[in-house]
Amino acid sequence: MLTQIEGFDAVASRHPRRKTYGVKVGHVRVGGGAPIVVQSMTNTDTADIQTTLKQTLELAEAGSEIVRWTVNVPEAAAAVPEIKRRMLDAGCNAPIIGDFHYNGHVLLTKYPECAKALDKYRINPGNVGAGQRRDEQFSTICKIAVDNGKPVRIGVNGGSLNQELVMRKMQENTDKNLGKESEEIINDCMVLSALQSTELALESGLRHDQIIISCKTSRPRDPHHRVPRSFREDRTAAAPGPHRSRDGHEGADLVGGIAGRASL
Amino acid sequence: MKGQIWSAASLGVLLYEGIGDTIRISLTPKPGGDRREEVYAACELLQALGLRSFAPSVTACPGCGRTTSTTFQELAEAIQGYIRDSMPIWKTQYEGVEEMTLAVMGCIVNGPGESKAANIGISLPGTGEAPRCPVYIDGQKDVTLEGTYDELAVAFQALVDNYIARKYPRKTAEVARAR
Repeated sequence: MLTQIEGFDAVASRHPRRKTYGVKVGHVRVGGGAPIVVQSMTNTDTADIQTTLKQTLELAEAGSEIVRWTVNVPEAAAAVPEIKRRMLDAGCNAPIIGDFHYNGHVLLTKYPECAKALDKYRINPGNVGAGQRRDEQFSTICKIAVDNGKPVRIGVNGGSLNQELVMRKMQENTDKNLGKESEEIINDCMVLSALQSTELALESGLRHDQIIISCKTSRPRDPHHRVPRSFREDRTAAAPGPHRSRDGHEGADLVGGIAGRASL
Repeated sequence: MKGQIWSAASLGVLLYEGIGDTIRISLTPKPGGDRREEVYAACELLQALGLRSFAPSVTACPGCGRTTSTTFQELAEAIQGYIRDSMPIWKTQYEGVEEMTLAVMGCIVNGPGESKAANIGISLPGTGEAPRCPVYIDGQKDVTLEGTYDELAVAFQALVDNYIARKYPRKTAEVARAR
């Protein structure tokens, strides 16, 4: 698809990329020196087969090399294999990611055909469960990924962080008089959550080249010192780390002028 | 616009540092808005940073008091739309077409310079300039177009089609299928 060329590294000299493991998501390689892959997410009701199919085809044709669907309820999980089949019939082979929150372990267990049809599972470690169940439910999803030979993305989001972790770090900041701002603590927690979850994913049997991690925040202020710094720290903490990705920030409005703005 | 600018500002820094292997730009669509905007935004950002090429890019000028006519704006928009509509087909037919650059400029100040720097550039006349539109192809003056907006649009589009067919090698059926 597009300029996905095996071993492509023409831009490496211009923008040296951080070393990451290459992860196969369906037929698309993410990381390991591959060109940066464009993805998007539908906003249709996944249980509505026809509408989700239509939007997926549109996104793929517009250049989305991977498409993500929310898989939030049993009806959505049940619809996944059928939408995937119709996509392939329509000549679209974009890999599909299932976006799971709260009940991913249940849906993937009860709907094995859904688990099989998806090309990657996105897990939000902030809402996979609370207390002891968190690790257990997280591992359940990872083991299903192992059994199906699928990669996972550990997608940490500032808006749905593991609250126990945040409270603990806030307390530690007070107790040890570390003087960190709460925003800084939240960023630290995002990285910590991603790293701890990665360890757990590895313990559950996933390989390094089956794990993608990302951190997303809607507060990009001073991005140079916040999220990137977090990624840098993360790199030293866990080098050679697994594959890293990144999401944008919620906002609104039209395309245009991006070219001018990115270079500013 | 906020979503795009915030995303470009923050993600641009990360990308420039070599961080990231896949990208999604989360945009809140307008009610009934087009979901593909988030895909276009991601592609534009990667292309702006020179990390990937997805579609031919059009350089146009912002316009100023020298360019009171809206023709160059309309022509720039028309050709941008033409590229977007044609790209799904072009990319299966022509090797490297996504690297093509176009320029649609509004007056003599930067018009000829930007037009020469593009694969195909057209420099439209600003206020008070002679109603002639020199076209440059790969840096060389090719033709000078004159006429109404519609005539210009048709002629320029034909030059683009012609250039693509001439410059970019045809993909074989096997190559096209593999992509």
